Amino acid sequence: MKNGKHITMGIESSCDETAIAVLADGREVLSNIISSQIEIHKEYGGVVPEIASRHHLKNIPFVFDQALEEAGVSLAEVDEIGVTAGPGLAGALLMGTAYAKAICAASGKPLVGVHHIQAHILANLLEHPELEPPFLSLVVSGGHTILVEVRGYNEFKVLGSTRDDAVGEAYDKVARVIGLGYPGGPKVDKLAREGNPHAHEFKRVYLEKDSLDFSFSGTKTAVINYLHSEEQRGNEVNPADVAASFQEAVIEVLVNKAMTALDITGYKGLALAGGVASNSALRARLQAAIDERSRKSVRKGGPEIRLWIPSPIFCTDNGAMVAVAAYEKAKLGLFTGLRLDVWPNLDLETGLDKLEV
Amino acid sequence: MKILAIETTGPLASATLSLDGTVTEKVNMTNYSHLEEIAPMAMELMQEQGVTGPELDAVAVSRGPGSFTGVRIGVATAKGFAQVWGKPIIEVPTLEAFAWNPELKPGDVICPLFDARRSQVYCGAWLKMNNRYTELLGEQVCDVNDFLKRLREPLSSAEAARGLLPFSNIPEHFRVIFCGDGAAAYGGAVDAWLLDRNDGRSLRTDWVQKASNAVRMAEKLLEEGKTTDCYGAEPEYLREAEASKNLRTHNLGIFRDGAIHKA
Repeated sequence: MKNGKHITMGIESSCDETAIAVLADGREVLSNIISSQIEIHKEYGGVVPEIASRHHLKNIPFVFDQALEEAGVSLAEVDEIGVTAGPGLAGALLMGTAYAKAICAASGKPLVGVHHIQAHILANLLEHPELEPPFLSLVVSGGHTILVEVRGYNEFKVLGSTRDDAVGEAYDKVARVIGLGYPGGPKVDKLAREGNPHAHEFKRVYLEKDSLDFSFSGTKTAVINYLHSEEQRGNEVNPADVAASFQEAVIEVLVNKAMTALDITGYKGLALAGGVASNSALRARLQAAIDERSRKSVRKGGPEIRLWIPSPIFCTDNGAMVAVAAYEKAKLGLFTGLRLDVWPNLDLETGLDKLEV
Repeated sequence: MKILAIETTGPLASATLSLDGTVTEKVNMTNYSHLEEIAPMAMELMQEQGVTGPELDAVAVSRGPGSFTGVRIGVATAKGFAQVWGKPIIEVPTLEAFAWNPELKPGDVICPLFDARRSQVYCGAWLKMNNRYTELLGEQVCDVNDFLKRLREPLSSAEAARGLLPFSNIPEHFRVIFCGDGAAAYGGAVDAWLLDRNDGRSLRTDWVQKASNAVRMAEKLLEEGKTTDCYGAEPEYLREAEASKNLRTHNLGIFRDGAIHKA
């Protein structure tokens, strides 16, 4: 406690960001330190797990001090510490978790194990205090593409997920073939602004009628095949048009599936989450679709339809999202003991009890 | 002197407390569950011995080499402890710590071998003498057969310059002890070496890394003022990450015509 406020720390190390944040009363961000390794992994064209683990270990005590210092809080004033225990890269998860356990063991602070995707979704609460479960969420990141019903702060029902590539993965692969390098998402997004999104009609995959599952590997392969055939014909290609058309195909599917999910579930709003949620085109297109839907609803005397999106800094992997999830779990009494393990493939629907040991 | 030592580099995790030279230890007998066990085990041990973190003089950690993941779990845990308690960290070299095994007798040559895969071992050799020991071959990673051969060969000029004692100077009746999970993994090669030496005394044992050896060495390092802190503590991997090596040696290949070609 500090000045009558409940203090929560969140630790995140599931991929290539070493991040620690401190929150007051579970919503107010006092500090949010993110030590990114993007510059290191860029050279390799992707995250190298062994190198990520080595850097997490080196960075983490510094990030911890910085998070407390910037928040103006002492460890004694922290009420609980949350840590991402899965899913993610095993070696990377291990660093945050081993360190968090040692901090809690040494200080007597309660520990809360957090699911990485749960944290991404609940990041929406940081800037939208009115948002409460149940609600619908679309999670888009390098490793995940899911439509999920958030039934409670620690209860999720997955309505659909990708059957092959995650959105971010497809972005990274397309970025590689058009020579943009890693990380692909922001680079494709930027280049796409200069291109014509209708220059090419790359394949959209909707799967069965009303299916909320995703498939992006066909779209990605269509881009690669187009580039190869142009290469064989000796034709020049316009990378901006390719980027814009690829992005158009992906976003069209994401937006339409999200609308189908709203139709099926009847929810009056959607929370976007995950690293790809900082993609400017996706944000704009989803906002437009929701606005139109809201107008129609209001015209018929229904409620407004809302879209919640975290600021880009809370979309990327960060400690604040882990802290908000830890705060809500702590309120439910869902602490973990010092025997917490890491779970690289932790299931959002059925795996959460593994974090309460 | 009060030191907590943790060891997670090998198959079994352990935590040890040395209270003015009295050593108590907890060993987790389940292989490779270090993350789950090490912090609770260390705290239980301290509670049983009635010691709190702030009363310690230092936190010692077996800093590798060993399993990359295991080494990191230990160092991350030590960093967390040391940071909260405001204590120095003693980085104990994992291989050399075997020379502090109290079961060794003067004249024993201890050769810990850790399986580094691809027929390689993390290894070294130390000769136990009265109340001290001397290095014969410093910690290194190499092919297990090369290591066994080098135990018989004259020193390289660099080693001679470092004043190392050549193995050939060691009396034939001294006992050579191979241990660690590498001695088991490459048991055939080690046994062939033992058969060749044929002294009826040298042997292969199932000793593995233990925090109680590390803590004995840590006492000496602390006396010598060789400590660091949570910011400076670093694992000793003895091997760079495969990807960095490939990048450094330009071995990543290039993407051309839809496939990766060796550069």
